[in-house]
Amino acid sequence: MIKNESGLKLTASKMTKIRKIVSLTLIYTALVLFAIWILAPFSMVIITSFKTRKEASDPVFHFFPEKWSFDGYKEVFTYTSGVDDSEIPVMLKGFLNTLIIVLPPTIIGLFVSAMSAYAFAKLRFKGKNVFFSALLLTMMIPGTIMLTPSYLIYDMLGWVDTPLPLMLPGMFGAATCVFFMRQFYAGIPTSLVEAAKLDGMGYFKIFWKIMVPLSVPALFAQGILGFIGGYNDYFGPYLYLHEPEWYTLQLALASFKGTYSYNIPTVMAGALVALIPALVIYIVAQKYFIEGIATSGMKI
Amino acid sequence: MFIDKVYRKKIKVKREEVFGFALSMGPVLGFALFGLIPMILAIFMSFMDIYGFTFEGAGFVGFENYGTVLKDPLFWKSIVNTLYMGVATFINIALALMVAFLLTKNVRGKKVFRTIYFIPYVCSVVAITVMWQWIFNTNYGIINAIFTPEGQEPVNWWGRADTFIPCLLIMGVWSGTGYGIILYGAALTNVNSSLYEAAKVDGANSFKSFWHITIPAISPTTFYLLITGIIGALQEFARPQIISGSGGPDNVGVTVVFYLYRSAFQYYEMGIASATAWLLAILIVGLTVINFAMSKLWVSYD
Amino acid sequence: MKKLKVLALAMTACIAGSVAMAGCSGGSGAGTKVTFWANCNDVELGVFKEITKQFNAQHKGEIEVKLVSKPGDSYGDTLGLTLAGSKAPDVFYVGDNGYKAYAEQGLLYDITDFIESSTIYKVEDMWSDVTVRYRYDVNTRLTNTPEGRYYGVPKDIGPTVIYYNETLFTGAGIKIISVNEDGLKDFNAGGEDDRGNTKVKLGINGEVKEKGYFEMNGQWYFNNQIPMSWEETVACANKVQSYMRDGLKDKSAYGYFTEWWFNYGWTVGGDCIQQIPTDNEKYTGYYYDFTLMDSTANYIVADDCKEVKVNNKTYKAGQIIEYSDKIDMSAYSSDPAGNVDRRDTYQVTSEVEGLAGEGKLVKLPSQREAFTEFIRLASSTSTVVDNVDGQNLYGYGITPRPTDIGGDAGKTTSFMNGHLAMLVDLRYITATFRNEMDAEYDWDVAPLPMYKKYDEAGNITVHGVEAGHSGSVALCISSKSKVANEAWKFIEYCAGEEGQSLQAKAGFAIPLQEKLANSPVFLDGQNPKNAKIFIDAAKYEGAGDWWYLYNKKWIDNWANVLNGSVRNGTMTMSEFYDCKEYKETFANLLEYSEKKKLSANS
Repeated sequence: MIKNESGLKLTASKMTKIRKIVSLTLIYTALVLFAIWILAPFSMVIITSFKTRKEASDPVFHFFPEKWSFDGYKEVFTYTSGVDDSEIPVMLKGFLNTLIIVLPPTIIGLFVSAMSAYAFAKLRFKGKNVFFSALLLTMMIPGTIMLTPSYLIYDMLGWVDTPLPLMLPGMFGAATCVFFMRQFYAGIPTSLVEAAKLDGMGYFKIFWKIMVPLSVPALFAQGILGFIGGYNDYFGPYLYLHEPEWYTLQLALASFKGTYSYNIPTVMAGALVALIPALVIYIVAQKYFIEGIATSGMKI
Repeated sequence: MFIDKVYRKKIKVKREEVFGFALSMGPVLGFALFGLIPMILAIFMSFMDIYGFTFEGAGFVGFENYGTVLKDPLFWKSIVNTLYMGVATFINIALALMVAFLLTKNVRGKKVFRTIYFIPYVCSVVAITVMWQWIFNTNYGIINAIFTPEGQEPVNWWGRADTFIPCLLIMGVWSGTGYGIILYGAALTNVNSSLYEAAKVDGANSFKSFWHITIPAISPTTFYLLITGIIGALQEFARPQIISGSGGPDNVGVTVVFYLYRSAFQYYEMGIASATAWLLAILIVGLTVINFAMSKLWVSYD
Repeated sequence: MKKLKVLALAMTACIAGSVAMAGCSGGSGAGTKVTFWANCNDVELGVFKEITKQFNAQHKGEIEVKLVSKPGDSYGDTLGLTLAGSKAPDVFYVGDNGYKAYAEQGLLYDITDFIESSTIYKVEDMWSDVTVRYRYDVNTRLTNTPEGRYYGVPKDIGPTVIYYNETLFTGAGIKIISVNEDGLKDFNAGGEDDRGNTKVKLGINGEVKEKGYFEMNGQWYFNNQIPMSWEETVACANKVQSYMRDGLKDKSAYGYFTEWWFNYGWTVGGDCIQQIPTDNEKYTGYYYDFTLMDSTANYIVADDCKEVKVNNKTYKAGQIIEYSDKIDMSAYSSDPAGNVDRRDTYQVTSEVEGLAGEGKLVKLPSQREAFTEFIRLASSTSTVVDNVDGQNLYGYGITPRPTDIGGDAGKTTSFMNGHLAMLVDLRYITATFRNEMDAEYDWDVAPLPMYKKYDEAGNITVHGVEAGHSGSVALCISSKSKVANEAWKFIEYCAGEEGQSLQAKAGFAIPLQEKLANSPVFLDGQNPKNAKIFIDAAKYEGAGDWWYLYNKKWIDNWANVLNGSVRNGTMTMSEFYDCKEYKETFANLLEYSEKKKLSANS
């Protein structure tokens, strides 16, 4: 009897253990499958970029190249557009231009948005709700329609052919960013602000000394999102930048693609190379990034 | 003393007013400078018979442009197409919740998984679209290479009216779940664990506690994803346009923004394009308002 | 915090620097600056770089052209907006599909006076169709009328021909002959064809007829100088395709690819729209009828009939009777808007039928039949394309659908890699094929198919005309340009002999000057050897339907249904004829000639 009982007990604990293992296996399987689902399409691109032009359109599909070819990548790093006689590869120049054009509005805009979000979240002032709703409304108007009037206005200002139309508006912050940061600041106890006030801190100082340090991850997250958005923008630069010396990475990529349109592996190599900086930035900063998104609380 | 207090408070209130206004004004000012003026012009344009990119020779025509758009069967089709493509928003939310839930279990490499899931979000839409176009390519795409039975005609994914949008949906789910997974991941860890224990004591199984505790607790996140997702989905344009610049088989690639883009930049009918934009804006605002109203029924901010 | 401050400072410096840089990029070098936007691939860009360099060298200190490459498909979408602004380029590419809308918006410089006084650019030296393609009357919205003004100069002419992969043809057991109609007699008598082959060498035992693709004693021949008939095209494509699929195990191989129906419709005299005269006050004297599926027969003047009068108009042998002369116009209503859909009531006049009875006119297929033939190319052999008189017409399955092949790059890639035996394409692609194919394949060009029927002896009994479209891009000047004279000088240079020679050498274009095209400048012995096909094509080919009207709105709606359901086999041609997108086109076309619309624009 006794033996039997302990045996039963053993089976029971074993059972839970087995159940645990089974469920964990299932969970891992699901997670890995999902990861494969996300990565598989990229593998297509990566593998294709190492194929020869001929093999890329081989009717008999081989996953791995029969002969690994690096020609596409060689083209990417040596391609000069042929318009100006500069020796700097277009993709590299495009990358530098992108940094110059995208970074300032991202950083300044982030600061302005955060400040505004702080005011919307923690300060009382007249017209607060009206202004905030107006900002939210701007998210709902299709941007395409502003294209024509905006272009004509920038043109009147003499900004076409300069990066200004791509830079200045962003420096005033962005509605989505304000929206997001306001959620974040709303989650910070008001008592903290009150205490600081009692300590004689001014409103700006409270923002700078308390709010900003507390929201570094969130700011990082928004900064990266903003940067990646600007980094991937194609239509804006295409519309406003006509001087090849100002081409951004996406414009350089388009020019590269136009040139090698019939050479699929080369095009894929170009697309991958253009992707890498954004990916690197994301992976390096992802700790902050995920934390930043996660802590905002998402209360509307 | 008393007077002093009142006086100081007054000053403080005033200071708060001034600072609040000053600090918050950046984006508002930016909008006024770079958004409001073009917007007002766009409103004017929607009431004008305007051809090309100049106001010269254009006259006011009242609501004629709106009438023209509303009478155009293609406009209505574009709304149906847009809504159909927007289905991805709901699939994304459900799938993101499932994956995020699995990630809350005690698994190793959580961060690696999360990082991977978010990758599509950082890639340019153009690059992603070209990639998927290639994957579904009839003759050289991997999908047909693997799934076409011997001797059968390969499926023309982007050329058929009944597969075009489903392919876009697959693509949308692929690229759109990452954001939701991260948001849900955070929301799920913030759910008060004592609630689960109480439920366990009450004899609720894990499914029941998920349904009755988890879902309501993360409803604000769901709501946020829903709102931003719908606003984004209604402005769909780039993906169908890259795949089929002419509007897809049987016009299924014509979304509302595609319709307005084409009116403006290919047909040069700025009045029609502006009217379309405002009709779309009304639709978006309307849906958002309904969403907010409905949210009172299911979103709980405890 | 300190770091942040430094960062902020750096940012400010960046912005200031970028603005300053943008400021200085404007004015270096001597001479009047002319900006020039090119929307092209690398080969062409290289050529224009060279042209610009030479032009600048010749005009040192006087004019300096600055070439800007604007590649990509969005070019056309954004150009209009840029032209409306103050930063418009002086000289730029505009396709024949886009210039009318710009002209109407007043964005293009009227270069008629320049052209008329030019000693370099002479319209009479050039291919007749392509120069007048850019002559447009913004008041009547008609092209090439005496009142029309010139808005652009074609930078080149790009006729369509069949590119074929000779290695695959040979592999499939097809022998190539290269002799034209005029040379046939000599060849049959034992003379050499253009490749130096004789009948004996090719093993031909019998008389070679005027056929593009034929069989003789069990051997198949392809004559790359004579257009194939519709049936020959299908047979030839099938022959090579089955060799590629069965022999080479290339399961997605195709025999033939074209994405343009013009060749099919025009060879029998059909077209997708027709101008109908009207005295209705709402219109400017005419309106358009949608005739893509016009099912009335077409008529051509018999070869042995010198000339014939139809509807008081004189037609010569080999000319097809125009729509307005063959159709009884009384069926057209006086208020087109009130009754747009009467297409089934239109009939051929009794005059035409009478002349056909006398044998002076010969009956050709209708536009609808021709169009159906085109659709059948890309439909699979199990797809019912149409049901005519109770009989199912199936697809031929010899052509991949445009969506299958994934845009321009797709068809080029397929052909270059040997997955496509025949490709109908423009001249510009030649340069790419030279670079990428010469090492691996023999390839050449042949004329586009044409409607032909033979008797049992193989002699032609009925034929249509040689037809197809040529692509063209113009160089235009912005109406806002302050340096129009200098800009014109540059255009003149590009279109003149020097510029044209440079372009021809690179392989992507045919010189505008007929004389130059017939010289070694163009016929330089490079691949394709059969290059004179391009010259023949340049003579008769016209602009595609995107050029007919000032925008493409009337096309987009039905074309998407055609390329969707019809080509995927879920809709027959008859159903297409009855679908709402097809029917809407009648009303959509009306606005193109409405007076109200015109007055609003001028």
